[in-house]
Amino acid sequence: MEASSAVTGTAPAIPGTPGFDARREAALPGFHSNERKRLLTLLLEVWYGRQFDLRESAWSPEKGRPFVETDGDGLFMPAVMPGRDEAILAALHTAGRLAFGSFDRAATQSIFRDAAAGLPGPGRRPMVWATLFELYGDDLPRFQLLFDMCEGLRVDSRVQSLVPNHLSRLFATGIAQRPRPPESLPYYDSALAAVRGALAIARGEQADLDPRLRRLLLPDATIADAFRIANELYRETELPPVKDEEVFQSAYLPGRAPSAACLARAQSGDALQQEAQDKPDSKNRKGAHEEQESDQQQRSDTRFDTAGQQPGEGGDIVASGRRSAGSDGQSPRRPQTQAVENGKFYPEWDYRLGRYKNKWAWVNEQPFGESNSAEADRLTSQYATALKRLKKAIQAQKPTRLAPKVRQFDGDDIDLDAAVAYVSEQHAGMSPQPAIYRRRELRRRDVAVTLLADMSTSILQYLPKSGGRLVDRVRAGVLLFVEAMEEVGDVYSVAGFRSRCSDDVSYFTIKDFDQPLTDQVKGLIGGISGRLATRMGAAIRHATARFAGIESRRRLLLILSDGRPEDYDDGGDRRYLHEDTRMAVKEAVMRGVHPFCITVDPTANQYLPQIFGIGHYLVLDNINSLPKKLPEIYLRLRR
Amino acid sequence: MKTATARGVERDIVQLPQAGDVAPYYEPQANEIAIFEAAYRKRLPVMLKGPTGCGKTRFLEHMAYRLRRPLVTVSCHEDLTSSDLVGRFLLEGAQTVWQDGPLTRAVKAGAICYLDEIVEARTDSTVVIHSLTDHRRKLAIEKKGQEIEAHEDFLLVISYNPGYQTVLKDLKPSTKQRFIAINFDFTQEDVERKIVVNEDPGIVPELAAKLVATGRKARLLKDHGLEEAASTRTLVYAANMINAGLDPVSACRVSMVDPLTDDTELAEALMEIVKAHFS
Repeated sequence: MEASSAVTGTAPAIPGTPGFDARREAALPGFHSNERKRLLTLLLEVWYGRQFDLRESAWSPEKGRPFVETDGDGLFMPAVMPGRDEAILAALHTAGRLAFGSFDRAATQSIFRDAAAGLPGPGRRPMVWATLFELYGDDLPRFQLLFDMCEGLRVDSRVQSLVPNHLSRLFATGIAQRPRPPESLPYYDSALAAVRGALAIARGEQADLDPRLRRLLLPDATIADAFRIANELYRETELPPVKDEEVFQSAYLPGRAPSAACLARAQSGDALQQEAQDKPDSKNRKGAHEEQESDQQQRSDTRFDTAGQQPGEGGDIVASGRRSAGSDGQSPRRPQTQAVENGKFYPEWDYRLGRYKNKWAWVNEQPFGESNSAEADRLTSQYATALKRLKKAIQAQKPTRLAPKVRQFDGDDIDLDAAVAYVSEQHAGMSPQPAIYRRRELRRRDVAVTLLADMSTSILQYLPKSGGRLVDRVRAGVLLFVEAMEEVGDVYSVAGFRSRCSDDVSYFTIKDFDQPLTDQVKGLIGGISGRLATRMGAAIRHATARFAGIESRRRLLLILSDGRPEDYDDGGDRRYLHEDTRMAVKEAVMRGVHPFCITVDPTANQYLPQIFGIGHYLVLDNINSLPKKLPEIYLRLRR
Repeated sequence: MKTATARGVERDIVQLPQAGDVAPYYEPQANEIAIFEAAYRKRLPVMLKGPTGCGKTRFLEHMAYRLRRPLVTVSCHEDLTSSDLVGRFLLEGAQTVWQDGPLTRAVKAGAICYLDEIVEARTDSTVVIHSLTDHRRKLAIEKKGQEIEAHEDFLLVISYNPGYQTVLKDLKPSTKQRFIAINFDFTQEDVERKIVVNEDPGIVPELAAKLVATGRKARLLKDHGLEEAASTRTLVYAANMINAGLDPVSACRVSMVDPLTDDTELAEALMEIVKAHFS
């Protein structure tokens, strides 16, 4: 890779940077997991009914065959998998290992106990996977292959109970990929034969399966059974020893991976280190942005600080967060004098006390100072076609959307229904009102909307694969939104918010209701950036208050977010700000403002229904579609 | 309502169930039949809530048959005016004739009047139902300066689908609380299988079971950009298509994947679910 970039004369690509990843992946054929992450996430959610943390592993082509790995918590996908079927098999299999007890503590403890019991005499060391595997010495690869065959069979047959075509896909893909180094074939074929047997049993057909392996197909089989049976096979089966790394890797069926390696690695870095130390590595890559890093650092410090507090102190957790923030001299206790005039206190709901804390959150409204016209121009030209299409769509829908006023006393057209009614009512001896015209004009002040953007640090995150950062999509989305709004003709405002503890919530008005859309406003949108945290409740209260004096039948507050409400002083108690936000939403509804949340956080299903209510939020899991989707969602909502 | 009368012939909208009619098939989910019958006994208006295609309309057809009442259905839309419901004067030669709207017809005939997707109608046209939904049980015909006391068997039923399309169009709380509400959702798996088999008797139970399993998995993707989940109706359509000779995978694609989403990735995930069950 370095060599090729030297030839073309560009700067050498540095591993771990987005540019490097993009170039590396573009050069490879196959299933690009990062682009297809959404598909895998959807499938895992469908089959397992829950979400898994899908991350990129540190795999690169020189490390050999790509395997999906797990640390017992998340799934680590290599950037490229050889094919779609193998990638789906691997994701389902690895999630299956998490769901079906490959990391079950009780079972692994029993393995260690049994193994330790077989060791001679005193001086026994506490057993972990690494010490356990040392017992097999140089022949470890042979045992490991057998163990993984057994454990793989156990897991895959459990996956089959969820995914009706799992084993048949595994078998078909296994047959299709059979050409491989001949030394690995004995292992590969016996694993494949076991899958064929399990598949026949799952279909209720006559099966040809090693009776020892049948035990693994039972739903109550554990990893300890796999270990025991692998040992039996190890003692009784004649399979050639494996020395070569490539042969070892080739012996795995599509989707399966050396599991014991991962298990061992968690405790020691011994001979099995051929598997990448993916976790710290990939973390570094994710959090590459300096600002984000330092901010997270700061946040976790605050958390750590408050974690020492005794529970049961109620609202004091918040107060202690303040102390800690104030003591380092960074966070002023009260906002600076110039800002005080524009600031306003709002109450905050404390679920632990079951009441509002009066004058708790200080929301400081200020003009947004960061402008970037160049970025706005760039985005306008980048999304020019999308914008054109959008405007066309709005124009096409106008006659129905902006329905002409009917039954007017004067107007451009005759309202035929009204005219007929008028004549017939006259005939019937009544004296109807001559309101028989229709007039095409915008229905005045029908809908008023505020777009409230979350401008916390997290929007600076890099987007996997597609390149760029979330903030670019947010800027583009807001730009398309304002352009669309001009076309639609509704009253609208655009604002952003961020917070640092309850006494410093910033609310930036980017465009006010009565302000025209100028290049200056677009420049401000181009300058949208992320900093600090998300105190959503206070921002919702302030946005609701800003609707005062706006004449309109319907008021909509669109909140654009990428994560849950959080702040430095929430003491690690997520529920606190969740509950407060929920109350803020309720208050808004009571004041005739309908909040609706659009989020790009794929885990938002876990908390948004409680906060906004079912049907009052939308999870956009395809971030790239945000710019185009945002105006569309609005048009749908106002219908 | 399945009737013995000829098809392709105009019929009046107010039709009592005839001798020889077959009860429209309905598989109860819970105690909704008992609730409806109790509400009917006291003539309290009923609101049916639930997602598209889960059986609200069928339920009402079934109840109308059970109670031996005619059913008058009005599908509401945004241009529906109160004249469309109550009635209007028409010109006939040099004379004008008053023509009753469907609501007035139902009020007079003691029918069950079903306002489907009521939130779609403009709020000014829905206020005419207010006086019908409380103890007054009266319909005012403003244009004629008259009012009608509803026939003693008259019942008003509305349906609505609480979804995010209706954030701004929710019914007013003052309207809502005039109704007895019955919640509908997609039924349990075994019931849904029965429904599919019953709606298309040509389908083998094993295939119906697979269709239902596919549909239930597909519904899990609702929060990921599907505006409407795969309904029981789409499952029945898929069964129809299979029965008409299409292979199951294509039948599912044309009836429960492509109509639901334009998002290629979502469609791919849905097709994975289909293929998992049918290949």
